[in-house]
Amino acid sequence: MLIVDDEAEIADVLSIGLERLGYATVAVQDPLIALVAIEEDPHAFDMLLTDLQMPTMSGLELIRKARQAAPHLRAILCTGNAAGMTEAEARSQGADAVLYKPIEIQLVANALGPAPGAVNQSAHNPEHS
Amino acid sequence: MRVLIADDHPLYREAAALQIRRLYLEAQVQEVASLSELHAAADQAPDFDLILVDYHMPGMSAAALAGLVQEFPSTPLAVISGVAGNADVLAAARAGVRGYIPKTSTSEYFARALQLLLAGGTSIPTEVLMEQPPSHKTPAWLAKMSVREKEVLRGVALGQSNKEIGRTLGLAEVTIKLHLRNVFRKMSVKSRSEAAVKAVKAGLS
Repeated sequence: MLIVDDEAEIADVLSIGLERLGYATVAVQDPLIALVAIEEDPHAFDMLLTDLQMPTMSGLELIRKARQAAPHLRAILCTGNAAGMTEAEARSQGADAVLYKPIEIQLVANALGPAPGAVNQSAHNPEHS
Repeated sequence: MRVLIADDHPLYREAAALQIRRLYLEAQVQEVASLSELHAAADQAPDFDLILVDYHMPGMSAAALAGLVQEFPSTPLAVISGVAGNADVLAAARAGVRGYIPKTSTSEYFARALQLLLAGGTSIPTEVLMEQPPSHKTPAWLAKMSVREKEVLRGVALGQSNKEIGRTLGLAEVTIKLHLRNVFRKMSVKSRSEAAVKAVKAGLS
């Protein structure tokens, strides 16, 4: 799973937290680097967890461009309530799920579904199942 | 002048004895190979002018060394050792020895050390004492790393390429590249070699 957030601390917390739940994660701070990585090897990732508002590219733009290279990619958008974007709007622009900050690791895990080999996974969040 | 050399390695013992005889023509050098042989030699004739003891021969320890210092209070006693680490030198100095001569030292250093010890002085490698002992504390950067990042760093420390690390971990090469960006950032390093050195120093290899 590729995690993209321009705030390194948030990216690291998400990456380590989800790794503990059994997901194979890697975090980057720059969406442009994330896009280059996806274009370099479209099958390296099957999930993308991205922040919405980032300086070099928005999360929705990243999802759109990433899908051109890797159509199979599941994408979750993380956004603050202040962004004023509804879930329906985000979904219509390519996000498979939307999570609102502050992000809880377990909510992300629920949105992603069980990790391969993961234990103690709770059921899917009904909202996204 | 009577010198006792206690070392379980005959080659070093003989080389040291030879050098002492060259430096001091009148020297009578007695060689023993263990702590028990040292005691036996001292029982027969205890009046040595200098005793050189290998720190790592059978039966030797910091406590045994302190015992020897008490047993021969008026004889300069020096440790000869292949290992001249901070902890060993410190332990020997605390045991009360007057000298610590690394086996890797030059013949000039050895001659100067003997000269000092026989003149009533001391010869401890202070540069070794000033070294910081290895820290067993986990570095802050290591505590910030994910399990996967540590695995990638371990591969770097082993000299593996990104492709090799990826193959070992079952990850795409591009993923290894991204992990390395985080590893470098967390370690505050700019190169693979710098990361490898830091990782090895932290015991991650």
